[in-house]
Amino acid sequence: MTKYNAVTEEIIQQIKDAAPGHVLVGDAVNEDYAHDETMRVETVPKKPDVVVEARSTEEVAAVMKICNENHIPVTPRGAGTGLSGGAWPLMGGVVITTEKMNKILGYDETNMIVRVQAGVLLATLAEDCTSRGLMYPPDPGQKFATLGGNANTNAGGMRAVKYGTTRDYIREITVVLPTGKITKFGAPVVKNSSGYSLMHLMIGSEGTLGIITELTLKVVAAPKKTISLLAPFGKEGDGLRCVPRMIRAGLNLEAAEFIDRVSADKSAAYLGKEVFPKVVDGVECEVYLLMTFEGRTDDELELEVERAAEILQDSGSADILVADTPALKKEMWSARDSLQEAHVSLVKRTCSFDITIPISELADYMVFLRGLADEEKIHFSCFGHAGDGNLHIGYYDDSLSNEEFDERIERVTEKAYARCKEIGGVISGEHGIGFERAKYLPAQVGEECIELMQGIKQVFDPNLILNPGKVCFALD
Amino acid sequence: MNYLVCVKQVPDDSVLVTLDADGSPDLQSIDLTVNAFDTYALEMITRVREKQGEGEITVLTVGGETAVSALRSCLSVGADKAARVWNAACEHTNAKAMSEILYQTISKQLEDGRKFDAILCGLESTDTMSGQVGARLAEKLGYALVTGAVSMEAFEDGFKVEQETENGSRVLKVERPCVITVSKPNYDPRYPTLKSKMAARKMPIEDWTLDSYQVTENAAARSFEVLPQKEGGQKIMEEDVACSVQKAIAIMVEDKVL
Repeated sequence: MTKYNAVTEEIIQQIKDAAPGHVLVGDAVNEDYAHDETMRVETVPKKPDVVVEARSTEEVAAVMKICNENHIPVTPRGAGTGLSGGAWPLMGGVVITTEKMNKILGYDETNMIVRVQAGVLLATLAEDCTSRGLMYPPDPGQKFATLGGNANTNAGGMRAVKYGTTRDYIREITVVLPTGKITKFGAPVVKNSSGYSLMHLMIGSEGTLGIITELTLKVVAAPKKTISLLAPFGKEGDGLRCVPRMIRAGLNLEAAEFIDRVSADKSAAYLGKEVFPKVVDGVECEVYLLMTFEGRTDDELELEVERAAEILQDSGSADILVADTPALKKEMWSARDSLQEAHVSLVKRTCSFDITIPISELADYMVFLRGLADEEKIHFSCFGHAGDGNLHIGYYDDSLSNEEFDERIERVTEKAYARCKEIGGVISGEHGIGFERAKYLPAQVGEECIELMQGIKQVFDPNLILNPGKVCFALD
Repeated sequence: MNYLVCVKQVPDDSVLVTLDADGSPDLQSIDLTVNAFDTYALEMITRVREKQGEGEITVLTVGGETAVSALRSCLSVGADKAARVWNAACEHTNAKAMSEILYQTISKQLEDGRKFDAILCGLESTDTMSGQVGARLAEKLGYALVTGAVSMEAFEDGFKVEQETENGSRVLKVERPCVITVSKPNYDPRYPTLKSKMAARKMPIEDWTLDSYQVTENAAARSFEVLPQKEGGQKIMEEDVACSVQKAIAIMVEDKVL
């Protein structure tokens, strides 16, 4: 394992000189900086020695340089909403948070781009865009993540079925390398075929190759009209098999989510109201498809909905509920956004997967996952992005001892990941590898790929000081 | 039984309204929707009707062509019939004028032989929030009035209504016919289904507009001026009220106010 040096008083002073007034040490370091929102981790969170609340790229660079020269581990951090442990300072040392770098630097509406600091929250940008008739399409459930954090995990979210993921909306980034040098990757243009795309290498690298401090993002004109439909199905397989048909039909589908029965029940318990009705027209609902369609006019939208209804009804939908007012749309989608929160608030221990598989496999893979839960006698719930095959799976059982729980989860994880690989899936679609999934990555991508990743990491970060223990370098 | 629900189309209240240069609200880009309290009223009476197993619900609105979509929304979530009123007298009305228009319209329907066992209104509209229309209408019709209902059920020759009070709620019995204004119940209005929306699209909208209306007074606010925020001031946010009071006294003593 790489040896790191302790953060001495002298180094702390150097860091304070580099970022005057923005450095926290000792008791001023909140316990929250020891972890993010990752659940079920055996690792005990370790508080960093120093937290730097950076205000500028230059400040980040100056601190990185000091840490690199002194072999001090550095963990970058956004809002701390990650779900794979990417922001855990496993080796202590210094945490550099970009939370205070939260300015929208300006729009260029001719080129349809916006420049932001990395600490701007997704919700802030989304709202600002809306007020200008624009839309920033990436729409992960966690709206209070930073845009720098979204870039680092290549966050996707609800609209990925139509618009893709964060990667598709980044044009240029400013990066502080582990050596403390400042560089830019990408360019504010649509096409770029100029050498290796280090920008795309940086996106999804989870703060292991550099710290992103500024981003130039693509925005689009906001859709004129939208309507949301909730289609409950008596049989889960019918609902999930219907999704590829909807996509193949060329519908203007902005989002297509699914919610299983147990997740719907948790939502009702958590919110105190039943947005996803248990029984519709006498049919007990096993799964729900929640969709949003876009259109330029009411007539266009109506036609879109009629075409969708044909497919949904033909696939066995019990009925179709319509959210066509801002209030109803908000209610339906808020209930969807709160599913993860509902799950973690109602169970004491849980593991959470972020598997992504081809959408053709959704129905069969769900049967497989339920089978694993039966085999291991553990509870199971699932919701996710039906339109892009990204599943958020929870296995949990508060009646088990910690040891029993861990053993069962370990077996379930290995089997779920192995089957995922067989059918062409990946172990993380948008949460990232962090350290939670680092030990499973070699089996997913293969040894050659891991060696290449490690080689790349060493080119960027020869002293391995940046975000140790994450992605391709698991701690021993 | 026959029920009438008075509804108003309002700008979506989840969107921040900005003012034009002349101080009038810029509503061009804001979607119009049925006033939330009116949707609660419709849901409440729809549940009464479902429990009773009979009854007819008519929704009535005063509004231009765009208000038709509000009525169709109501038809897709419980209403059986819909009627609209619109002429020059209806533009820029205040609560008093609106209650007169509604009173005259409803009176004509009563004269023509219609009967309403209960007339429901939202407690207030989310745009002007006067909260007066229901009460004024009851006064003019000479009907009993219950305000702030959060639940109701048919009961003998009237209704048992749970009314929201400052301390919680109380149950009142009211005879038919009556006017009931509805607050937020502990449930949400139902979602329309695709089938109910398609059916609503084909349903007729009746025109209840009278040849003329006698409106005695009609001064409605058309523009607003936002006064600059007072500078200075200090927020006192201590752990509890006692500490806050102590802090406030200390500041006033320091500034020689006390």
